[in-house]
Amino acid sequence: MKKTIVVMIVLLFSIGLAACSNEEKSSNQNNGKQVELTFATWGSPAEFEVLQKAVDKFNEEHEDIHVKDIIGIPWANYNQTITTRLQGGEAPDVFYVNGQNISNLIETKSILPINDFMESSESYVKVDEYPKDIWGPSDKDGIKYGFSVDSNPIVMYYNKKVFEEAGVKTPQEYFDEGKWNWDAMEEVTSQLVEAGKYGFVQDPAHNAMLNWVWANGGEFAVDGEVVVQNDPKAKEAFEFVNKMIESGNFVSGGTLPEGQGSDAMFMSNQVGMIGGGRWYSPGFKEANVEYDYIPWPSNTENKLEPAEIATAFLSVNSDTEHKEAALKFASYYSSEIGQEVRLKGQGNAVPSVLGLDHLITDSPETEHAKYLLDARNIGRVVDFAVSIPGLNDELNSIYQLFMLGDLTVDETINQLTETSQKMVAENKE
Amino acid sequence: MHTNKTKWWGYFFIGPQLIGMLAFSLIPLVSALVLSFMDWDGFNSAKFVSLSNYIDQLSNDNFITALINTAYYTLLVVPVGIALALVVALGLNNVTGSNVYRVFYFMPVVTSSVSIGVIWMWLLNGDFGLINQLLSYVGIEGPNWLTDRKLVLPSIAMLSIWWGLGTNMVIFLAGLKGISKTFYEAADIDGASPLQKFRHITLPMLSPTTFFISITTIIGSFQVFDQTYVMTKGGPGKASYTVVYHIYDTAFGRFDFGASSAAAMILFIIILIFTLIQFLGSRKWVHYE
Repeated sequence: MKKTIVVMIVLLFSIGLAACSNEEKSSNQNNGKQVELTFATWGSPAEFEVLQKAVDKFNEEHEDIHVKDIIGIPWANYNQTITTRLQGGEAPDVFYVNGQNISNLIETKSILPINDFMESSESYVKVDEYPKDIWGPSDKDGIKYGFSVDSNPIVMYYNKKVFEEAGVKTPQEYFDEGKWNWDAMEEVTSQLVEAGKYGFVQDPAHNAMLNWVWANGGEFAVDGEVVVQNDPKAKEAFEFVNKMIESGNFVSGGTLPEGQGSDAMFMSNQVGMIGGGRWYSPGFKEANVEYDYIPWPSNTENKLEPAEIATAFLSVNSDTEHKEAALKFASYYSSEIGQEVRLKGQGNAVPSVLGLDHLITDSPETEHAKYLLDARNIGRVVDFAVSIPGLNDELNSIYQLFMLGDLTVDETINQLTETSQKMVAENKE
Repeated sequence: MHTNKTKWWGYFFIGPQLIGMLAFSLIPLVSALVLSFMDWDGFNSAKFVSLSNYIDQLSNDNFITALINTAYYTLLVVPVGIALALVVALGLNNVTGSNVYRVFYFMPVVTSSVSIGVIWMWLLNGDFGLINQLLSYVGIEGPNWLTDRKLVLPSIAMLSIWWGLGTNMVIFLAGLKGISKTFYEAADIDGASPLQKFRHITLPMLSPTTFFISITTIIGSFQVFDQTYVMTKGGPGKASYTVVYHIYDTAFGRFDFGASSAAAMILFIIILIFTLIQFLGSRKWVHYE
């Protein structure tokens, strides 16, 4: 019997070894001919079509490297999926990383530093081709860990049809008169609500709230220190949002059901205005929604105040077997060529490499697409809340209660301050 | 007599099950136990930190909130869920065409938790959900079920009771079928009323089944995750933040796999204690034939 067991074990090992050697052989063959890369990101089907253009162009121009079709991962589970796949050694070679997750991946050495490669002749893009402030949390102590793929300055979208049918003066008209401010926002949303529509969808999220704080010249945090509790301008912003929600002018995005997010409400002409980056535009265009952009209304003497610039980065898996090829593709995708291919015509973002503004100004999308550039030029990348794992989520759960009317302005600011300070202190330990 | 040959065939047949248990139950359990004493971000090498993860968790506000929420949810789900399943099983026990009803009640069980969650999000929507629509016909203005801090857990409990009803009902039905008719015939001869028969025959004879169901339902309730993840992400605020959600959030939201494992082990111990208490208590009320 013992002999039989020994024979069985030897057989099993032999099969295993044979399988391993086959894999090795096929991998070597691969290296000899064409390297295959996997690439993952999040987005809507309409966005994937836009992003795939740069992949196809790269494949056309590179016989030695083939990037497989985009692996789409739902946004809701994106960070968790990537993390799990990295831990299991099954992550894609190249993948998008959002601002919330990049500091974690840098800490855990899961993604490659890119400075040296960017300085080499192999790279399609150089550091000085980007604006200085674009790197946000992807830059740690001067070392960069992800190519800036593009940028998405947050503006407001307004639904022309909803405004027209409700007989409400458009934000553009206010803007032309130099009066696109918080009073105008209140006036417009009140009229929309009177006409039986939702005025504006306010997401219960930290970055969404910062747009109002900054638009009033306030601050939430400065140099990693929370200052919101002592900033009257910030408090005024919270009071404004609170008033708008209480009066029904704003509806909290957190109370909307699945499939009825702000973009769905916008497309079905239920809401007059939403905030967001250019990522909504391909879907709106496809659905023939008549929309236009307007900058975030300011509450200062300035015509424009900063709003958030949402950013994503293209990083290379530290464990990839094809580092050079992966870095090459990532640099191509994020370079002038890659951004031009993706963002020409109806793109889903604003270029982050300098010198491509014509893609927006020449876009047939809308004459006011130039507001995207204005918003990018003055906007800010959020980095405080995303620099500490879990902080952004904690803050968002406080905003949920605030926007549901369960917390007063003072309670909200106190809780935001306490939570931030506590987690900052824990992170330093 | 077992020869060596038959013994090895036995191992051969239980082999796949044994490998499955080792790979998916025992190894993860031992790994979680080991990890709970480590500081590990999921990538870099782990550092032994003794009991500090456990101490941190027991003084962690989020974990305490999650424990309270989970206990409240369990209190809502277990008694109502068991009672309702028993009532339905009793109703279906001797009904003609009961198979159709059984399928009807069992259908939610075979539907995926994510689909169930999404469907119930629509049903419970405050503005245009079906439940509030129906309430409006009788003049009641329905609340925002999932965005009201006081209502969110009862709403999720309601869905869970509906979802788990089929499984418990089928087990109760099997238990009812196992009760010998002779007991009822004897009771009839003695002139027992239906209520007396239920109290003195059905309930005691069903006690092993009730015991089994109460253990599995309590364990299931302590482990609630899918519903809160899909429907509320633990919100609003932390109103539906449960222990397993906390375990998930600590691991994948904060990259603290050691603390997450410690929370999992504490949950394991809590469930173990509850189960032991049930086993000890069962001696008084569970009757085996």
